[in-house]
Amino acid sequence: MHRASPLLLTLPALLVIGIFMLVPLGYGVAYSFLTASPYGGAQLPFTFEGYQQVLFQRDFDESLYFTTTYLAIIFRSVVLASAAAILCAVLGLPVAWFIACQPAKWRTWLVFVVTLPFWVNSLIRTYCWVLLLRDQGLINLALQKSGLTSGPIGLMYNDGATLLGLVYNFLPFMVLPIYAALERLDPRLIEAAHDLYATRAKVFSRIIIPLALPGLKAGALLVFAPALGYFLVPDLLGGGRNLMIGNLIQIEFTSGRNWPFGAALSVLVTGAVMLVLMIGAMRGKRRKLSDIVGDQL
Amino acid sequence: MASGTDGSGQVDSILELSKITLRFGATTALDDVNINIRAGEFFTLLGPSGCGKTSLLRLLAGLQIPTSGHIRLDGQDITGVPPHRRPVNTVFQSYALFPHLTVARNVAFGLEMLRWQAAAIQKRIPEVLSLVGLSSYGERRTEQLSGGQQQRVALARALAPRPRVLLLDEPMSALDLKLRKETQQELKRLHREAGITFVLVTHDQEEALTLSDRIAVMKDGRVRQIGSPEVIYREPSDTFVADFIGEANLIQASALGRAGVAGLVMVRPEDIAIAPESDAARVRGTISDMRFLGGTVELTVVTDAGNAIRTRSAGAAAVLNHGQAVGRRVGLVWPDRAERVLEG
Ligand SMILES: Nc1ncnc2c1ncn2[C@@H]1O[C@H](COP(=O)(O)OP(=O)(O)OP(=O)(O)O)[C@@H](O)[C@H]1O
Ligand SMILES: [Mg+2]
Repeated sequence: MHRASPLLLTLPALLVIGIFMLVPLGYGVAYSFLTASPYGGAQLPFTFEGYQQVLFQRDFDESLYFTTTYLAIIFRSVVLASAAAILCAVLGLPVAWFIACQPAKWRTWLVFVVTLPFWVNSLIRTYCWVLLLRDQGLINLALQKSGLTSGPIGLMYNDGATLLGLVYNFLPFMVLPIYAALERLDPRLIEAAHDLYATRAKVFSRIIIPLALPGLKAGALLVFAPALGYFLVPDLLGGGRNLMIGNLIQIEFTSGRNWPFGAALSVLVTGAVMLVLMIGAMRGKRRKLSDIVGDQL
Repeated sequence: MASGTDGSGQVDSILELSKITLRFGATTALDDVNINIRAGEFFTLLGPSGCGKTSLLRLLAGLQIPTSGHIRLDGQDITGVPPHRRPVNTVFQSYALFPHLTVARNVAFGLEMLRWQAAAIQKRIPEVLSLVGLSSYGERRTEQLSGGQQQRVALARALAPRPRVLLLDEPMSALDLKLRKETQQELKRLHREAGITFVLVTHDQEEALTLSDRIAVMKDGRVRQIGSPEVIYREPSDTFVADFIGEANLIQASALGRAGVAGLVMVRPEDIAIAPESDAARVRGTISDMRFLGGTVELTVVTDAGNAIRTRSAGAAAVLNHGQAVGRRVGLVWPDRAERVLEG
């Protein structure tokens, strides 16, 4: 039989990656180096204006001055996304552990249940939280009816609400990779650890956590990366006052009419996430390499 | 010897199992098991697949609680004591080495859990690693090791905390024949040097005979006989034990013309000699098959009563001319002490 060349076989995959990933990314990068046109969009000439605006603002007399406005938003975004990743890990690990402990026939269903929120549009799901958290919402109503509080307490429009929304939205991204790692964990290792005098707590910290770590790392990235650029949750639950980068980018592409600046911010976010990924990948490689070296000795 | 008791009395028992029963729903994995294991001995649980060997070992490790009955270690009841509070360590059938830890960290695990001083741990690791011949492997990751090496790491890890009893669940089953033989010798040496009580689980009767001080033969969750390899081999308590350990000819007593004796007469093939077809012969028959086994020759003789009896001897080849053996009529003789009457 005639053997198709390897290049031909990988062509569909390359095309998909090219069209759906590289082209938009290339557009983004290109836009970030253009000049903003007054009614949205971008035009020539090429400049670094987009990136400059992250740190400097132009005064009325066209002189540049240093500003922390955007840095603060970036900082808040990183903090919130990190906090979301950590909270997801804290919540996701017990959930994943619980699923992994169930009989095999149940597990498939429980995994399905975890992914269930994906079947509902995230806008609708986030609005549901609004209905729960707002002053006339279910929680405040219940608190007042039960006499625990006299008036509504402000549950929305703060960083806590944003964090809640982020954790809620991205928790499945944490549960699934941890579960995948735990499912492969040989239960006999746990018995062996018990046999070697480990208490339940020690089994958890010395066996289960280390073996779930690849899943935890993957989950942390899967939560952190989209949370960093998310705009729906901070917009609806954070109230648009406590901005994250995502909101900023959205604003620059819409009412702000500064596409190059929005594109530059996008490139920075993407770059930061890729940097984290690459560091992780490189550290993984280095360990593999030392293994191989160890084998030669 | 009555089944279920070992006749050893209470002398020096390190582990006492009394009236142990273990049920999984409708399955009875262990049924009224009574065993006394002596301090320092190499004790083997032998039996066919599914007879409850692993279940019994898990009870000793504390990984399972018996439905009823008691386990005593050094005279103290440990029936419900969790595994991490028993001075008992296990070599698991699958080894269950921690994949995220190096060989040395695996060995150190139990010691760290026991809160040994760091210096004592650092001293103990090379000690046990050299005991199992893996001195230079401390920094290896476990998945880089061969099956035999992994098995030795599992041994080192279980021996490191100096347990009162070492439990071994078919530790050799994953090894090829040659390695298994070597490892058996190794295990015997380790037992001598460590001075620890070993409880081995196996379904390989040859392994049990070579290694053990005493053997408990199990079937369907019950102990059929406990005794030294010689006793088990020479004086099996029933036909199951006779058949399971080594090879046995089981002949109806009536076929041997024994008046008033009911049951089966057991004779080992190597105790039977070929003789002329004279009156001195216990039975007479025709040679139906001959197999040359290297050092010995195995003959199958079909007696006039219709029993197939196997004999094995080094001399048979000299007595009989090769080509003419099959079809010849012969007599079979054996000394009185070689036979044992068992209830049918
Ligand atoms: N967790 C369990 N749940 C239900 N039945 C079990 C369980 N563990 C063991 N059994 C049953 O108990 C009996 C004894 O099992 P066990 O594993 O002790 O046998 P074994 O002698 O070790 O066999 P093998 O030589 O095949 O390892 C078997 O019938 C088995 O099916
Ligand atoms: Mg078993």
